[in-house]
Amino acid sequence: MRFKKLFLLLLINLSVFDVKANTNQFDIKEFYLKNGMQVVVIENHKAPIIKHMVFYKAGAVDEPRGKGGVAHLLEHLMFRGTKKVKGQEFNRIMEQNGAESNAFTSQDVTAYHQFLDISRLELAMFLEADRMKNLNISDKDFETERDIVFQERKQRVDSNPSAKFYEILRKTLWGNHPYANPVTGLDDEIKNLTKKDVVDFYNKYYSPNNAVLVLSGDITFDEAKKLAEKYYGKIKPNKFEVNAFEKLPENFEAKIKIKMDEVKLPRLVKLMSVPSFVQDKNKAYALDVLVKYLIQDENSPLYQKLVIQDKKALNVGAYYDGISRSFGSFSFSAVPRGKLDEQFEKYVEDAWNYAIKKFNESELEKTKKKMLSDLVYMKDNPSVLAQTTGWMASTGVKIDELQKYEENIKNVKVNDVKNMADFVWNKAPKVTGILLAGEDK
Amino acid sequence: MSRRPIYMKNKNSSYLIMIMLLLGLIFVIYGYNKNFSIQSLVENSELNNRKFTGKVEEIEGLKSKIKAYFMQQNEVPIVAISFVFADVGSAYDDEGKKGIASLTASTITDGTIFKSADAIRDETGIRGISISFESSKDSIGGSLVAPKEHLEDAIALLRDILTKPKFERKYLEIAKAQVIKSLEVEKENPAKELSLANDKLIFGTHEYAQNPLGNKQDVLNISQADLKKFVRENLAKDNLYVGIAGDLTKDDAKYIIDEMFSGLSDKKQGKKIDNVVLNFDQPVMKIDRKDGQNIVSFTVEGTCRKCEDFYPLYVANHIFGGAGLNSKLNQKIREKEGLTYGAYSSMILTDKANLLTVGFSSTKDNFEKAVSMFKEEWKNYAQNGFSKEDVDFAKDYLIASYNLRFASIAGIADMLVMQQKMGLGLDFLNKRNDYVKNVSVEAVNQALKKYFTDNMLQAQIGNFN
Repeated sequence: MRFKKLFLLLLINLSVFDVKANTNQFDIKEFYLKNGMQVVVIENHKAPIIKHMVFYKAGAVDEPRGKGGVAHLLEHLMFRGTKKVKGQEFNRIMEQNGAESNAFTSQDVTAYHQFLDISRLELAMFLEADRMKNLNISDKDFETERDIVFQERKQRVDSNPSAKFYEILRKTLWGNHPYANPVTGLDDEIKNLTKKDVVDFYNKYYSPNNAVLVLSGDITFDEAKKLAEKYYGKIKPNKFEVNAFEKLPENFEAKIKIKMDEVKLPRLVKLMSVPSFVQDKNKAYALDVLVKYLIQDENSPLYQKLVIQDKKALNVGAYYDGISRSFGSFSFSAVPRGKLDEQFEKYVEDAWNYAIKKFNESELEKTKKKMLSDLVYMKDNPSVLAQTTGWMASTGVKIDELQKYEENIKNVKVNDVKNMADFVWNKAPKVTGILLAGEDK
Repeated sequence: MSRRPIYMKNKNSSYLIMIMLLLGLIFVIYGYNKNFSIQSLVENSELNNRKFTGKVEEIEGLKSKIKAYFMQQNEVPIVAISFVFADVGSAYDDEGKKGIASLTASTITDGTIFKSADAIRDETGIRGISISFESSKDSIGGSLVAPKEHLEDAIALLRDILTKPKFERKYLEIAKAQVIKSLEVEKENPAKELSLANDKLIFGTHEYAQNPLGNKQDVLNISQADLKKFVRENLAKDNLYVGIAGDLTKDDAKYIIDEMFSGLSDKKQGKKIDNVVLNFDQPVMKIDRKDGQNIVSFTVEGTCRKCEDFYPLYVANHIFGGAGLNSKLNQKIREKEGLTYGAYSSMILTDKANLLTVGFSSTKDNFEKAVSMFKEEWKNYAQNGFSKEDVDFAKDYLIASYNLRFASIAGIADMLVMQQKMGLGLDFLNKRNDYVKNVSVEAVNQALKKYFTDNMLQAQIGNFN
């Protein structure tokens, strides 16, 4: 045998590391500080580095009506100084200490994070804890930062036809639900935001009992516990109520056709509202398996049918986003090889039905194996696992779900997936969007 | 009753006052410290003084004599192998076969003479093996990442892909259709449209000016036989660089080198290309577009990775536009004026050209002001240089961020292969922080004078009426 020698070498090595042979189990621990702050600790001792993240369970969905962009503008202003750490000192200190420091805002959450040498962790924790309560922004800085986020919106959305298209689809699907509003806010909303709008949002939502701290890297649980208490333990919690989310009308279905001059590639997109992990975890796992079955790689049935066999499409994609505080969303997209007309929509319909009909016990097993084989990589980069875990915790998904991911995926049955497929395609609130190339094409 | 007379009468009053002053001083110092001391937060941290222990070694295949850089890392049971074939990227595409390097990279995993493309995808998917290829102007690179338990299968598969690829017809046909469509739609994105035009402006008649995807006619003409011949003639032992990292021993790694690469041709065939000669005697290139922001790109001559000026210019670039929000450029046009979402400069190091570029976008009303502020800053620092404080600050960052490069096994393997390809030496990681430390403010300011010149190419897209 050609590989006998190598195989022996590997076998010897495997037995040495037998102790950690259970590769799919994540070593994630959590606890709560007395002030209500959730702390998640992930050990990874490959290098003396750590990812330090603070997630606030507050995002664009928590903005008052007409104040679109407040959560995002606040995220920017968090880098503009506190009573102790003036002006742009935060950025300067982090840079001088070698940190990759940044932040992001989504519909559901806002997160601040630094990836840095472990020797600088306490410094980062001090600074992050400080700006949880002591933000102090000048009027001039407020106005400049508002200009910057306006430019950001222009760069992200106006220069990107795809982004414009999705914004219209989301608006249509979500209606009165806050997921309808773009995270950046609309042009006029941004221009009219005041410092008071931002400060009110900050005072209401930025507090330890509404936050999740993630420490992922070269740290032990005991070290993490001690430091979390030292830097975040004394911050006082806030009292506030989180608004309930709007319900969506049942049987909602819309279709939108848009022509844009700058578009060169016509595409079909379907966006559906489906259950998220916090709403119904069994359905969420079934959706997770469904989407992987449909589009995991080029062997997946949608690609094989639409692109390879029938040669009707150049590409096809599907995506399930189930980690959210309210509904999850399912999106489907296809790029036609020829025209985007009713005939093409029919091909898409047929491909979907073909794929679902073909789904059986053996397809389920194969899909599961492919999903689980990648899990070991999650343990590699401390930054990646920190992000996933923080996102889950801050949207209300229990950390256990990640620990038990393998078990939960294994429990999904053929009928669970078929039921969700039927729901996604035929029953879920849905918008179909058709983006067409403009006149000059 | 007033206490004042008592104090006044007390012989020890000066002593008391001293104590009070001392207490006051202690309070002030304590208060200040409590308020904030960066130094003490770092130096007094229990987590201080930890070192990355990974070691780079050079190893050699016992039979093939192919050399690789290697680092053992047992934290997670996975292995990553990165490799680069030099001088075979899109700039080397032959006449009539433009786009072949890029097409090779996107279709080389579509079947071998032993296994169908479908079987390969199922096998890699089920075992968690990832095999990917990509092409640049200079080279074709690839990477294999596998769980340790499936390494044996992964190596066999990659060996067959490199030496016995099939380029299955049905997948090749769709890949070509996708490339041809991409050529049509690239201009949908203004940043992409600008970047393609900018390549033409910068590189002129040089091969670097070509679109890496090729052109429609050539792509249509590329056959299975062309691709197989391309692989046989270009992916060879003498233009191969390899980095291996992860949970395996040195002996495992040596064995892998032989297994994986022994079957390659000894010598690469194909043409050579010249160094780029920049022509600065060209007007500003303007592309009209009615939607979106205005975007601009500036280009000057840079320096090579192993040139004397590399570290001084590296530090200078970091301070000027490489540092994110703290850079001089972002401080001026973003943080103080709010004219753009971000402005960045970067060093482009390719085999045949070394460039320094600056780019940003902004709405039409801000555009002229942003451009003129950039030019002012550029000129100002070329003439006056940076302060010692600026330089020390940048050096602190570059040294303190050093360990972040070891975050992932695949990242380490990529770093090793570049270390080998660029000839940085086995001890590079040990010396790198000293290279940075040794950069003087004078050297940085000389680099500014030399490279921040008016010899600058400018390309922009947007609405300029």
